[in-house]
Amino acid sequence: MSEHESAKVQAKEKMLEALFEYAAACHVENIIAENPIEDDSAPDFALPPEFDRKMKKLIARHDRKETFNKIRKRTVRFLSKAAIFLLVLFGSFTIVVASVQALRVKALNIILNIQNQYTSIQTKDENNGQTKQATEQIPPNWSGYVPNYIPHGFKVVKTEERDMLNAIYYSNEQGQTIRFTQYRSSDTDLRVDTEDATVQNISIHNSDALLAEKQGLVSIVWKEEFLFSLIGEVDKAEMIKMAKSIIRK
Amino acid sequence: MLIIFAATQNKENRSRLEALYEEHASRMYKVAYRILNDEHLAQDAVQEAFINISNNLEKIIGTDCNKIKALFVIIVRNVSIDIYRLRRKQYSVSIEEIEEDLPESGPSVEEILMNNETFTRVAEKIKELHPSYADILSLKFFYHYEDEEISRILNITPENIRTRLHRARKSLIKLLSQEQEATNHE
Repeated sequence: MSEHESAKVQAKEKMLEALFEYAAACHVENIIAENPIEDDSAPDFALPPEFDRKMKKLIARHDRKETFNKIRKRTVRFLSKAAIFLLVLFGSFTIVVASVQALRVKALNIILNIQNQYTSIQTKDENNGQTKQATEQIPPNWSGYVPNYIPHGFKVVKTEERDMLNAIYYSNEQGQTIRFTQYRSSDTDLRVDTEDATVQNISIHNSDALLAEKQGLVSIVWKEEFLFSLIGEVDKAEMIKMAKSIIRK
Repeated sequence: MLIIFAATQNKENRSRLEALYEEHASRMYKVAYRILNDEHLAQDAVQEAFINISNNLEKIIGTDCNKIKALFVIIVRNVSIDIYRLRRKQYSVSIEEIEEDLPESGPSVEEILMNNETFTRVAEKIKELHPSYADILSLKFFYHYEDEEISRILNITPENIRTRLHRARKSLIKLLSQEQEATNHE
């Protein structure tokens, strides 16, 4: 079909449509004329009150349903937008933390510190639960090493027997203390505060030992069958003598 | 906050629907009664018409008063006719029977329209057209509803709507062409 022929066809269709529009408008006009307002209140066609009540209940029920549907649609739209927003926010935050070194270090340190604290607390609790204590004397069923020499004036004030270690606490009347510890576990990481301390290597029972002196506190750490530590507020010579005196009970 | 807003909006809608009911229910009842000649059936027709209206309220709100009046009459009339047909099926002249004698071909559009008295004829002939056909032409060409919207308002299938529209057009053309042929013979 050529262009002018199709244009004529389209024009005819528009004319027909206009004709129908005119006809429809006439029809609506007729309806309005047939139903004047003054007829509306004619008593013959009054609806009974019970029908009115029924209709109003119907309208109310319909509207409750509509309200619920609207709320549901709006909530879903809102939640999906909120979810997308949170996702974008979280993603951005992760990217920023990962790409900025200072933030990354800080974030990791926070995580590690939390873990350290948690681990620390756990260890304390376990040990407390299994600590056996005795006062003034080494218990008869003591299963570890004990120093055979105790510096003058010191006596046993406490012993502890735990899964991972045994410890004997000594004290004198002046309140000075010595602690002897035997570590059972082969996976012990013992640290000695050697910062600003006088440190020397000595030998205890042919094993290398570390002796550190700092602010009146003498620490000796060495390994034989087990890892041992002796820490006290006593003269270095006395401490060395005490360390060398340990025997298995 | 969303609940309050939705409830507020819905309260407005409910007031409008109730207001529409209070304004138009009696007239709709009158129209339904004239077709059905039975109180209870007429009430059923009004109820069903209002259900259809409430499902399409957004389209109706904002239309002017007279337009709404005519629209509600159209809706209740068609609902009443459907109720009537269902109850008196074997006796009613259904719309499907009406268009048996609608020819596919007829006078051309030019022959119908190229006449100064066309508009007068259209205004007259629309009164002679079957009310269901006239109503559906109004819904389509005056209220400018889509076929799916008309289907929801009248509660009939879209296919049915398209069929009725086709037949309504043909029917009006036929009425106009009969007039035209009569004029030509003179």
